[in-house]
Amino acid sequence: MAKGGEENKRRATRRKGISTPAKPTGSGGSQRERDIVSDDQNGQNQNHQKDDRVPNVKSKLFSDIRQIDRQFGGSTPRVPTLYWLTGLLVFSFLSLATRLYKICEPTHIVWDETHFGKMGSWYINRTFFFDVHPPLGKMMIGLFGTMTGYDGSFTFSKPGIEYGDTEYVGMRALCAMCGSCVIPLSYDIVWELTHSLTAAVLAATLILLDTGTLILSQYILLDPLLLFFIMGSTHSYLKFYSYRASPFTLKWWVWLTCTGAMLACAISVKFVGLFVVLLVGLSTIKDLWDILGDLSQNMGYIVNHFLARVVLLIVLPVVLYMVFFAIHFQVLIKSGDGDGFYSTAFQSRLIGNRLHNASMPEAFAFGSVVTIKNSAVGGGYLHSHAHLYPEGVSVMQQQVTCYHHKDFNNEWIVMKPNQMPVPEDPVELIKHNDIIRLMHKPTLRTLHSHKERAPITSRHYQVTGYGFNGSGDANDFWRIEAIDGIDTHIGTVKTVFKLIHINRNCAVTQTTKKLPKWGYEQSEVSCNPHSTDHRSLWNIEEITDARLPNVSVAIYAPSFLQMFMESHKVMAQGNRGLKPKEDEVTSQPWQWPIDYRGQVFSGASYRVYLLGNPVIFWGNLVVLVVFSGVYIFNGMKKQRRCEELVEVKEYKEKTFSACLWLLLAWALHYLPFWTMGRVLYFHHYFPAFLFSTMFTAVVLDYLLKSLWFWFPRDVAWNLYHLGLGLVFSIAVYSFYLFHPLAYGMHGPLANNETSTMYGLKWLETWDI
Amino acid sequence: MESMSKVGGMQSGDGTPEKGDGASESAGTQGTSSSSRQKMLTVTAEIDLIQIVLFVVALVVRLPGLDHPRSVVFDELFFGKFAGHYIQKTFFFDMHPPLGKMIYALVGYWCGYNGKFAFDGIGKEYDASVPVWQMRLLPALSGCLLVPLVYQIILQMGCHQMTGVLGALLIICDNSLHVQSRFMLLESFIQLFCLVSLLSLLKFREKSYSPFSCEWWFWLTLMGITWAWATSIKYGGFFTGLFVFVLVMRDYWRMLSDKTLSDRQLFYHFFARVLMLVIVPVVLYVGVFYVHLSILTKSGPYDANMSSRFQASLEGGLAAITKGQPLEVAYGSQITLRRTHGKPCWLHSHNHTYPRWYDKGRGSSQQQQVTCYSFKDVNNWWLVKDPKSDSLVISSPPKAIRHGDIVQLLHGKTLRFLNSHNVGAAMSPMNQEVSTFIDYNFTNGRVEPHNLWKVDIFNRESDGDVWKIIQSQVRLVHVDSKQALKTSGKQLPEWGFHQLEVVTDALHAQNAAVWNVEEHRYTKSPDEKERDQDLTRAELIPTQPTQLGFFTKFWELQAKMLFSQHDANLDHRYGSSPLEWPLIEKNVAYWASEDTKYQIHLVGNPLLWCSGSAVVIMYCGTLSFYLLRRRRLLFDVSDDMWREFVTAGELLLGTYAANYVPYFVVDRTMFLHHYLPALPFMILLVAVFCEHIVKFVSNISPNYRWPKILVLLLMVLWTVLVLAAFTKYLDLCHGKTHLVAEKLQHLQWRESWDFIYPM
Repeated sequence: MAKGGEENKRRATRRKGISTPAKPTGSGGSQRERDIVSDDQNGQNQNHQKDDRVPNVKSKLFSDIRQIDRQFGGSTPRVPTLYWLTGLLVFSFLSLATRLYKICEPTHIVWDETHFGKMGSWYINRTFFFDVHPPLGKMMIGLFGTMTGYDGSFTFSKPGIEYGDTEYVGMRALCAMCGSCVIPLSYDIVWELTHSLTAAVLAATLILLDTGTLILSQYILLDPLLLFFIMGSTHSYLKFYSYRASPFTLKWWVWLTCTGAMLACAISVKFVGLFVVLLVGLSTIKDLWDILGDLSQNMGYIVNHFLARVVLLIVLPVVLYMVFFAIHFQVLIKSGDGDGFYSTAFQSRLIGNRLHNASMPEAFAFGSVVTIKNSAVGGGYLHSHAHLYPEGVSVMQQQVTCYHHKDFNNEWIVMKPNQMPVPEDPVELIKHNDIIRLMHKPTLRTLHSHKERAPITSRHYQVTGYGFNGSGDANDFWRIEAIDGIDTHIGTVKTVFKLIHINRNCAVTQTTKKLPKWGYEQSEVSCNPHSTDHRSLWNIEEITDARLPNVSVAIYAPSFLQMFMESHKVMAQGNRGLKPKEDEVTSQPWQWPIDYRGQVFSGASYRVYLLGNPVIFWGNLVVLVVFSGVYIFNGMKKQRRCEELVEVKEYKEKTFSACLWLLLAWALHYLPFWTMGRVLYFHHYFPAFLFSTMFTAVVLDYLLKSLWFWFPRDVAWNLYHLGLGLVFSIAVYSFYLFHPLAYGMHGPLANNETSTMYGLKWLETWDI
Repeated sequence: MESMSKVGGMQSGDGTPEKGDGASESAGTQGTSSSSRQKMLTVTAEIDLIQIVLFVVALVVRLPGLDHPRSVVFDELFFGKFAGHYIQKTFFFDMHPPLGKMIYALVGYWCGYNGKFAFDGIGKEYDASVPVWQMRLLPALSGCLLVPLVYQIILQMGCHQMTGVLGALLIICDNSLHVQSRFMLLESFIQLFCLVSLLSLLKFREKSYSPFSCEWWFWLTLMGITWAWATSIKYGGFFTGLFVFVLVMRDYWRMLSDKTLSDRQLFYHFFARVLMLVIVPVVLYVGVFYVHLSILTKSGPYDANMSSRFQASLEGGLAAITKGQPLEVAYGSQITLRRTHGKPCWLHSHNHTYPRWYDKGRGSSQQQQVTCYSFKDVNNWWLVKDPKSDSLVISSPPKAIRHGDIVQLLHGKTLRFLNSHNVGAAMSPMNQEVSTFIDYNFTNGRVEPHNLWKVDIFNRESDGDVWKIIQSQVRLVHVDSKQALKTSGKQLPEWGFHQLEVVTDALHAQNAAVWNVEEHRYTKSPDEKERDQDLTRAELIPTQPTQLGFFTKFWELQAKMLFSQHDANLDHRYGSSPLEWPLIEKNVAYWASEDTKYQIHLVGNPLLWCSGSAVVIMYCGTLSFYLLRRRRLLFDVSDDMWREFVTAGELLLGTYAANYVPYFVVDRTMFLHHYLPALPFMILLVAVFCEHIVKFVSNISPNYRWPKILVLLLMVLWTVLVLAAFTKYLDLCHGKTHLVAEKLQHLQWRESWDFIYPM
């Protein structure tokens, strides 16, 4: 608290005194810039002046590090130097080369290509389908296919089927190109974070040489696209952040827009993209917090900052996301095997579906035959059949249930309370508050309720089928109560109504419960005395009445927003359904960082096995542990107020904040999986892996540079280069060892002495 | 706890006419100068009468009629039953740790309960042997103790005494706390320990100026002990302790910047905290299990959850069967093979074949079915045969089978070989089918047998490379395909009698592929009939019943408790999800008399719960508001008030969230009572937030008294309404009111509450 008070006092004085424009802090710019910036946000550096004046030998030694950075990176990091540019080009070339090498192999369908290739084909054929992922990734695959001459005719029936003459290479190559962008992006991300060329090169190298990322990028999958958009979002955000000293300039706007667009794409490929949205969101909140604390600016300025972010980081992505769905609905107009997941109204717009271009009456009258559907999500049709409620459960009358499939037992005849319908009757459309009886058409029993318990939900009354062919009693009378459109007649599909029992004043409800075996596990229907329940709302779905004029069902076609909401409900349901079964071997989050088990991509003669480069994976873990130690040690030193050089302190702060940010990104992309109950796969880890590897690069760079703190100048210089060389050569050699994982393993399995992979099965759990 | 009280130096009648007896302040007031004049053998006592009065009120409200209804109420079904198991020393398996049930067992034991009452179902009447009243007294008492504890905590946080009274009253007035504490359930213990943890933290912080003093040690130790105890009752009790631990460690981290402390002193501080908050709790927790396992030595109905070797270490049960069995499996052995992990089942075959065609036109081998069967059966017996010899008889001396040996397995009843081949299995077409081989002669030639299996004992490092019964965990690797025998976890349809499917899989390292021999005997005679009879006598009798070390048992039990999927059934009638708790969208029916005229339900006090949830949101809102304003150097409240406000939020909102948020990621059936450990913290937050409002109001209008009085009046009114709501819903708590339909309708605050309506 005392510290906070002190800080406030200082900020208050600053507010009164000179109001300098906001300075980029910790950006590690030129010497001149750093001198001005000595007063940073948290006000930790009160001793700057004193320290600067103390001549210190170590200070001079530390300049070596500066020299290394300057030699390669230049003194003004904004301007890309020749070295930086060379690095970017080299890594772009190398990543393309590694990703496109042997892109045609294997010549058969690999793993999930069977899904995503198929879905790409469906876009080309414009066939509607259902998938748990949002559409962008598959649309892109479809687009790639069209661009490279694939006609969508291949069935992608199951993994291992030969492609033959199909033009599949184009799709793979374009996916691989997206996947290749990940490496130059990581190069620039680390550069933006640290302005250390060594760290940037290390990060790019390690990601380049990881076999898992390589394999994942080479096939027709969503993952190369997802990785690309995740890295793209991160990169755009950091670029945007680097312009924070000059807000509202063109570049600032461009990168902010870019961030929003990339985020939208990431989340439109797979919902895993949500984690990068979280990352950017948290960073933005922190950023806004800093801006809010800058007392030299007035509130208008802060509101502008806030609004700019709201528009470009929230509104823009939401709009783009919906645009992708709009395209999805526009493109897919033919009936396919996903229809059944969607509602009647939704299906009516699909060419080839039974409901497409169908026609039926717009309203119904006494004497019409109707089917009645519950309006709640997952509601069924009001149903009855020639079976009684069993003795001891409820009164033994005919069962009335809710059934989810179309069936002739769903048909009811609407009747007046006191007379039987005659075909010649004049048409009398049903209105709000009309009193009706409903007769079950196949069994001729009337919908009935009375003061008896419902079979399962015992606080409700029982609903039965009673009487025969119009005979019955006063408990057969129902009032139809429309929720909206009260003044007109009750229409089909769109008008929602309740059926209120006249005597008991209760509403027919589909409860959430299922009847046991005697009720064929259909849903229970009861009469609910508390009629506010949303499960007691119904609508008419189909009408058969020769007397009424037919209109096209097309008028019920849902609006875009309705389709959008419905498809999300269906997707959520699909995702919930992906539960592992007992004894099924599923991948678990703890296995991922330790590279415990991979995923077979292709068997047979050209074997591909998705497995991370174990040296890099395990190296990441070691570095994580080492960093924790170093960080805690440094934190303790700081808590104990050990004296440190300003330069060293600044350098450490900058590096540590970069490390912590990457660590946060890793955690956000990894830890949520621990809480998920659905089926998980190893490839879910790769977004997190990229962050973890960049983190490793930054930490390694820091560790190597901190040699100067411990050793004399010459020794440190030598050790630094020795260490770097060692890291690079180990990475390259490990890639050399494990490259067959990606480029095809042939011959016997690894435990056979003649195998090319002999001795490389380091864990028993690897299937190589 | 109430003897350790704090003097309330403040005036209590401060405009709030809630409790008239608050004025009776008769405490010794000389505590402040005790350091200056030290008298020998002097006891300075302070008694806070308010606290005692509150406690007495709680007792009067909570205790009467504890033994009604005299029948099993809700989870008493389990906890009462398990208490009986302790008294009978019969092993049982439960996913909650044992301490809570031990407490009930101890009380029952003292009061002469023999543990023989059969807990068959909720609503069953207790017979005279069960000391119902005594066993229910303990949770009721700990429920009452919450009242003075809450009072203490509020005072310790530096709040006004009336705030303490308010908090304590609210605790008394909550229906859910009332119901939950009146039966043999575990939540009131957890609540008690959690609150003591929090109080200890506050006291410990207060004593930080005199570290390593007796009191300092006392409160530190108490924090550790209550953490361990709360965790040993239910894992839900873990989070308060964890949160308190984090706070202690953060305080320590801040202490590092105190330059007056030497590094050595800091190390001592660190060591003391780790000792008391890590090592002691772990030892206590393990100790509870040690007692648990030392008491429960006899086998019982829950054995089947555990592995064979665990079962064999219990008296009776499997130990009785396996005693006298030969230890080492040899060529000529007759064995049953049990799946080691997961729900128990045994490798099984029977005289039925796989159907010729499956649903999708895929064909089978039409060989005899091999399944995993969950019950003991004569068809679970297999004979181990040496592929190189024709004899089924044990050689003399028996030739034990070692790791890497090749065997054939013959089904005992049908004498067919265990076989696998390149045919897709029935339910998992990606895996190979396993069958017992029939020598078919199809038109395109005979099918070839592939019936050699390699024994892969993978725990040979610890248990030796000879195949032993029970101890050795083996994988049976099919020699021709190099795949391991495993259960796929899927059930066969009707033609397979709904038994579990058995397949082979290329992936060896998985739990489903681990088997162990359970029952075992040697085949002595080549004659078939004699083989069936001459079974029991054997040489090489294991000298002793299986002895398992404590830690072996402990780890197995832990793994089973924490990681096994107990009930995938997410569709309980009274189950609810965490989002439904704060506004009580679901009740839990605890008990109903047979004619359903009398019922007991767990529901919260609706007014209190709703206001509490609103306060949680209001607190967060206010905090963000202050924070944003302070960032712009606009100070709405004084530094002292701000500090109090933040500390209260950190402690109370923190503990509340720590007890509530984790349930969002739990994937099992949950009930309203899972929310109860978080509830006292919410109530504390309500009380503290009320005080903040009063202070805030009197701060912004220092010249007028009426705004403050108005606010106070509103709060009194609100408290009276809470009290009224409490009495209204009390009918659902005692099971003594005749609940006719109209009455139930009257009490039905939410449509989603599920009462049992008489018709």
